[in-house]
Formats: sequence, C-alpha cells, structure tokens
Amino acid sequence: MIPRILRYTLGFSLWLSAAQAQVKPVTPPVTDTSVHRTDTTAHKADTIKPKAAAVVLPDSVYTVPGGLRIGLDLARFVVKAFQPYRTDVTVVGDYRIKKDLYLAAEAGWQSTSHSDTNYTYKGRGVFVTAGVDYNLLKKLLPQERYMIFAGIRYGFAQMSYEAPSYTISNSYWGDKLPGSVPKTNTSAHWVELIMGIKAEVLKNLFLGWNIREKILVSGPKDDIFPPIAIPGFGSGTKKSQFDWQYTISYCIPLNDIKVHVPRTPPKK
Amino acid sequence: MKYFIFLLLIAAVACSDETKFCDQALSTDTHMRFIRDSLGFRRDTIMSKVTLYALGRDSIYKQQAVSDVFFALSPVADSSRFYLKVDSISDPDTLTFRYSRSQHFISPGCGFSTFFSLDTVITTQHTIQSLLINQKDITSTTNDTAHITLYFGF
Repeated sequence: MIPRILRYTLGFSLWLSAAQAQVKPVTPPVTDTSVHRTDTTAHKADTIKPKAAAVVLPDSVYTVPGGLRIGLDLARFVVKAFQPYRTDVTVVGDYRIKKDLYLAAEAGWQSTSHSDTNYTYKGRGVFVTAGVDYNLLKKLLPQERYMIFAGIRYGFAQMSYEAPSYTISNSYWGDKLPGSVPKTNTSAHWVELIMGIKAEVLKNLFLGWNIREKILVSGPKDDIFPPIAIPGFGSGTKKSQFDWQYTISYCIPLNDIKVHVPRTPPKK
Repeated sequence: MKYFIFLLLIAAVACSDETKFCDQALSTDTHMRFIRDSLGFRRDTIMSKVTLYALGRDSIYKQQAVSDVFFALSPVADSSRFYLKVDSISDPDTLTFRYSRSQHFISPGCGFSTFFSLDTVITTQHTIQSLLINQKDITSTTNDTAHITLYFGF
C-alpha cells in the first residue's frame, strides 16, 4: 500500500512540476478598467515622488469568471454496458474559489444485481466524494475556462448487500449445498488521485474527461462475504481501482473572482 | 481518432466484468501425504496400490501408485469416514475426520465455496502407525504443505 502511494505521489509531483515550468507572468488584460486605474496611479506615484526609497505599487487586479458547475458522469452508462450487474448514477460539481483552484465534489447512487447458477446478489448504496481540482493550464485569457487539472478526493460510501441464495456443488459427494447470506450494512473510505481536462464547448456548457486511481483506505471488514461492488469506488474485491469519467456540465455563473497580481517597481 | 481509441482502452481496463471469469480454485480438497518410518528414519514414500474412498461412495483412488492423496470432505456433514488401503498385502484402515464448516465467497466469478477446519482425525492402526495434522484449515488457497501426514511403520 505505502509503495503504491509513494509512486503515485512522485508521479503526481513530477507532472505538477512539469506543468509549472510553463508558467509565464500573467499580464493583466488591457481592457480591464481597474488595471488602467491602478496603472495610472502607479505612474503618478512614480512621477510625484521619483526619489522615494521604497515605492510600493498597488496590485493589478482583474477578474475571472466563477460559478457553480454541475454535471453528470456519462461514463457510468458505458460501465453499465460492460458490467450489466451495476447501475450507477453520478453527479459531479465544482466551485471556483481561486484563479486556479476549485472545490470539487461528487455524489451518486449504485444498485447492484447479479444472478448466475452459483449465486444471486443484491446491493444498494450511496457515496460522496469531496476535494479540490487545480488547473495546470496557465496560458489562458481571463475569460477562458479550459482546464487541464490534477485533483484529489476523499470518498465515503454507505451500502447494504446480500446474497439471497447460493449453491455450492460437490461432484464427488453429489451434494448441492444451498444457502444464503443476510443483508449486511457497511461503509468504505478511499482516496482518489485525478488527472483530466474540461473544455467549454458552448457558453457555460462543458465537456470533460478524467482518469483516476482510487485507493481504498478502509473497506468492508467481512472477509467471508465482501461486496462485489462499492458505490463510487468500484470493485469490492480490490484495494485499488482505476476508473474514468466523461462529464457534461453546466456552469451557473454566480460571481467573478478577483485576481491580484503583485507588481514590483522597475529596477534602476 | 486517437482520442477515442485512448478512451476505449481506458474503458476496457476500468470496466472488466468480474462476474464472467472464475480465476481462482474452488476446490477445498484435503491433502494427505505418506511417510515411511523405519527405525526413526522418515522419508516420503510412494505407496504401490492406493485405494481410497469415502464409506458408501465411489473410489477416489483405485490401486494407484501415489505418494500423497487429495480428497473432498463432505460439505453437508461435520464428519466424514474414508477407507484407505495402500498396497495389496497390508490391511486397510479407516480414517474419521471431524471438522467444522463455513461458507466463503471466493470471487464474483466463482461464487461460494465451503472451507473446513479440522477438529480431530482418528484412524485405525492396522497399517497406519500414526498421523499428524499439519494444517487445520482447509481452504481454496493453493498450498504444497499437506494438511495431514500419515506415518507407516512397515
């Protein structure tokens, strides 16, 4: 478990540092009136007191669009085609709190139903994840909302499952041992590391996809009969799980976020 | 195009149906090994004509030359009795196994299996000199260590 976490952390750090390498100083947009105002003030300050020992220039300020983005994970319907026993619905959302930082959360519901000659299985549960996304894309105009992001989530699921019937066959003894496992209530906690993109395809309408590795922190304790699927996490028999999302979202514009760009006086 | 191929590959990796394939052993056979004890010097031995069956059931081994045997305990009773004759001249023995049973979920593709935990094993001593329980738990886990070792004095 620990080497796996270290490997992901190292990979994530390398990717982050590579993305930071492309950072260029953000030039405030010339159309922003506040920039003009502060520039003018700064210019006046320079002309009035040209011999000041330490000139403190006010920050340049411009705004980027914020808002609450809510969407649906379309990949869950593709998963249903590959894993017919799972029915998942996942709602995703994020809220911009800084120029590059978003609070992000997901919530969903899962129903599991499987039946074959050996056993029948039923499960049901809900999950929620919460965390942050960091936009690594730096060369953006202030009004652009494209994202190449890295994120982290903490997930929690509450679920119940049961095996209404099972049969154990033994060819030598010729016995078919029937049985059942009553309903079990349990929960699971996990951490997700995410990388992905989002693009604004129409005004306030976004499409995006991401890949993610989910690492189970604590799961169902029952070794005799673990669940075959954990809502929001995936397989109930694995300690880590690779997954992906394809999301369609709509951003409700609520507010603009001020971005302060500190300025330093030119060196003489 | 490359974009969609990439997404399809990701989907294929992330969405494998675990209920389709059983990739683990379901059998929980008891493994019993034969040891010949000659004046304190013990060695593995191949018995020339081993016949083994549960009382009232078909033969599992019928006059086969083997050094160890694998057999299933009854999944619907807490004890099983077996007939064992290791060669054509020695007298047969009867082994009685007493155990507890529990059902375990092996995997989504395999379903359930019965695990056993040996309590006692009793044997007649016509040919068998003694026995040793090496492992009480009989599960689906593959393990080369025999659950039981039978010692023969001839």
